[in-house]
Amino acid sequence: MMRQVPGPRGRLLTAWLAAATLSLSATAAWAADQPQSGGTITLATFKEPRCLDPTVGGDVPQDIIAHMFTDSLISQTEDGAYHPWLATSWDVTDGGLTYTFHLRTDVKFSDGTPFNAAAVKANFDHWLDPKTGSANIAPQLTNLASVTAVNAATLVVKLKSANAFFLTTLANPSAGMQSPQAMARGNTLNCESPVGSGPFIVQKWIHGSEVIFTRNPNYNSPPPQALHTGPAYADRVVWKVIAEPATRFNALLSGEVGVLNGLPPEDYITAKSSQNIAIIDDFQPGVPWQVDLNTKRAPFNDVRVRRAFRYSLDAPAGLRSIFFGAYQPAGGPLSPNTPFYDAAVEHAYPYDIKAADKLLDAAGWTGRDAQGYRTKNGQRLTVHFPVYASTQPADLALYEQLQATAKKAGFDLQIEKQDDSKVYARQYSWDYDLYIDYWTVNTPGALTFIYDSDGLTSLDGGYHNNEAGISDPHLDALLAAGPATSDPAKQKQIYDEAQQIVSDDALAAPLYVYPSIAAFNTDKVRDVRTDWSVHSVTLYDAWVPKN
Amino acid sequence: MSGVAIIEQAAVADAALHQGPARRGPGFAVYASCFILALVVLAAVWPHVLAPTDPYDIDPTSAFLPPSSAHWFGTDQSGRDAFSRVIHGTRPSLLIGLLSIATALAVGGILGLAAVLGGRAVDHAVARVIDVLFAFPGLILALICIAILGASPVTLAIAVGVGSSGGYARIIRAQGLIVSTSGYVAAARMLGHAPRRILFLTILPNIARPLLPLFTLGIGQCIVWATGLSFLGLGVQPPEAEWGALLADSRSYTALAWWLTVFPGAMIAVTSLSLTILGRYLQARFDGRDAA
Repeated sequence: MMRQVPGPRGRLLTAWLAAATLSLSATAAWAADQPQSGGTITLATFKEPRCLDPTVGGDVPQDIIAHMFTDSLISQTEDGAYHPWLATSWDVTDGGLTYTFHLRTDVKFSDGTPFNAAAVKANFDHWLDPKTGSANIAPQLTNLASVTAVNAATLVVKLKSANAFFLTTLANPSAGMQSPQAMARGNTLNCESPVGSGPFIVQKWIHGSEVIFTRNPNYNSPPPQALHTGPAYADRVVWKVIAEPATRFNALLSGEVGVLNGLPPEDYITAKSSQNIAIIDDFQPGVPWQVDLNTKRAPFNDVRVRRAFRYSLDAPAGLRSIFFGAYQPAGGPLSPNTPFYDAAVEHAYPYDIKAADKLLDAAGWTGRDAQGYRTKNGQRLTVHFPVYASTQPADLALYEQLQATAKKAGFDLQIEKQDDSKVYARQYSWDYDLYIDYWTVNTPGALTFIYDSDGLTSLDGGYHNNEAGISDPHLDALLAAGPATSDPAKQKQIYDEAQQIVSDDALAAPLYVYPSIAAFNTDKVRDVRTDWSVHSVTLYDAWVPKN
Repeated sequence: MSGVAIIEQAAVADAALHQGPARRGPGFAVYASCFILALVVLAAVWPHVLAPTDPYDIDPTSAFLPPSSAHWFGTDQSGRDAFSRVIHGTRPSLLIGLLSIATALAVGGILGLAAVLGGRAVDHAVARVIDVLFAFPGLILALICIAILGASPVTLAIAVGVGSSGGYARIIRAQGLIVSTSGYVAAARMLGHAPRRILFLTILPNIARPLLPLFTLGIGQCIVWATGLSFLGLGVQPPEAEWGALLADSRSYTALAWWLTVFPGAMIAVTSLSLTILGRYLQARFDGRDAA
């Protein structure tokens, strides 16, 4: 079984200690309190899911909400270990090619449909159906050979080649089990009101505003790391969308919302010093928040220019001033808490204008125009960076700082703020030099999504995952070999090399480790915990204190 | 029109002139407004005179410094001098305001004059167009324009201009009707002046003069609208300083760094207030002289 390489969690620990010290007096007051049933928990998040079915499309907000109403086959804890959930146990045979899952037989979906092997098979079919357009689960199951329901309690999955990350995929909230009867209604209806066996039931989705959940009174299938069994404590959960960061944070302070998913970095310090605010401070595994460099056109079709660009960025300085140290700088192709993260490439490109100058001179960008930008054959060294008009202010401020330091090396970094739809259209037609990217999945397989030449092909609508436009047969071979090996030493070797290539080629400029910072108001809600499979909040154990 | 009628109308105009409010000299508020606007124009034309620091020079280590003698308006999230950014933000803000009001007057003027001079059918057609313009709230109309034309400072100005042109079209049409049926136009006709001469020397100046206070009032309003749309992210591109964009960039730091929102906000308020005071003063003056 795969073991997660422990990442640097020192900062997380100190944050917890600080939070614990600050709220010591409050802790004493509510230590005596016991969890109690009833009440409504209101949660505010930054972005509305496009669909509540977690696999249709498969964007991050869908992942975050999925375990509210679904259970997965297996669960994963912070240490990377797998635990039973809807599957009580599993056997891996045939050198990692056959997985036999033993399922619970006492679980029903909230519409009454029984959970059994046939239901799991229906879920696999749904994920792989091209109409589902799953960008998160289906690409991880390309080597699936067959799924067979042997009997109600036994499911056999055969793979064409070994896949060391298969169980991680199944533990993902996107792989939450849905009722086959509900899925049969078609994607349009299932997007509105998906049905799972989870602790809450989707009651109503008011688009643009909130999703309302009610407690599943018959819930009997929590994962083993939960603090209690049986139904959830809260009667209702209102999952609100508040895009404006300042409004979102003020709603938490005032108690209008109890839980915040995505604490705005500028409010991190205020939250930490507030007695009644608890912070869950964590980082997402996978590919960090980064800008991909489009290698398909000038100027980034020259590796020297790409490397020079990386040397010209000083993201850590921006993170200190704008994000108040709430976010951790990233330097490598993988986030530090991803399995097989290679620390060797973390500091490959320090902020070094001299190194950038040297590379740009060598690449022939020797001229300077009146504004101080570099030129070559009369052309200015311009880098086009389309960004969404909806970009959060703190991110925009960070990009402006990158723009300012890149200018010192002679880059004319044009931040082009446009309607979201225009930005998507430019992504589809490769009309960019930089494009924001990140991928949250708890395996180094995240690299496959972003750098494999399969990702050059457009998915529905024209979107391509491989935004750097890179096609490197050797890298492709490594990314294919990684999951096919079950020997951790060999896997480490493979992924070290893959990370080295991505870093040497300067295919992307990582900016920060994608954070998962949640906060909750302890006057309104207690025991908000983390779902470790994607490091998002879980409300199953959460309860509302009576005042 | 008979000679008697002309004399009667002239007499009415004369009486109105003398019954108008006693003309007072401009008060303190008007002088203060003029002074502020002079500074604003100076800031727009030669920002380096007022703010020698580079508004784009980042220094992350000195981010969020409160106002001091070194940084009058403090520093922003990237350590840039906020005073310098507010001063350098004057030019785009003012240009967008001026271009908006120019667009509004151009669109309104074309519609209004066409209604006055084009005859009954054109007048009816124009009235319908104006009704349509009025049917949409101005800001919604501006948002539609931006959706069609894309977001940039120029399209922002055009959008705000088109959004507020309905009112101007109506005022210009009304003023045109008053002027074209006035005694002095009738007199000019009787004196045998060529139609073109009547249009350019008699009608247009008399329509244009009352527009000056409207123009002044309108710039202030357009600046507020344009900064509002810019606040929504529909204006200038980063890192350019513009008042609305400055507000938008710093809105999430209000609790932490009040100076980042207060100063650009105050600049918008003070500038549009000054323009309003001046516009009202000019309006009072022209109303006193021109009431017909």
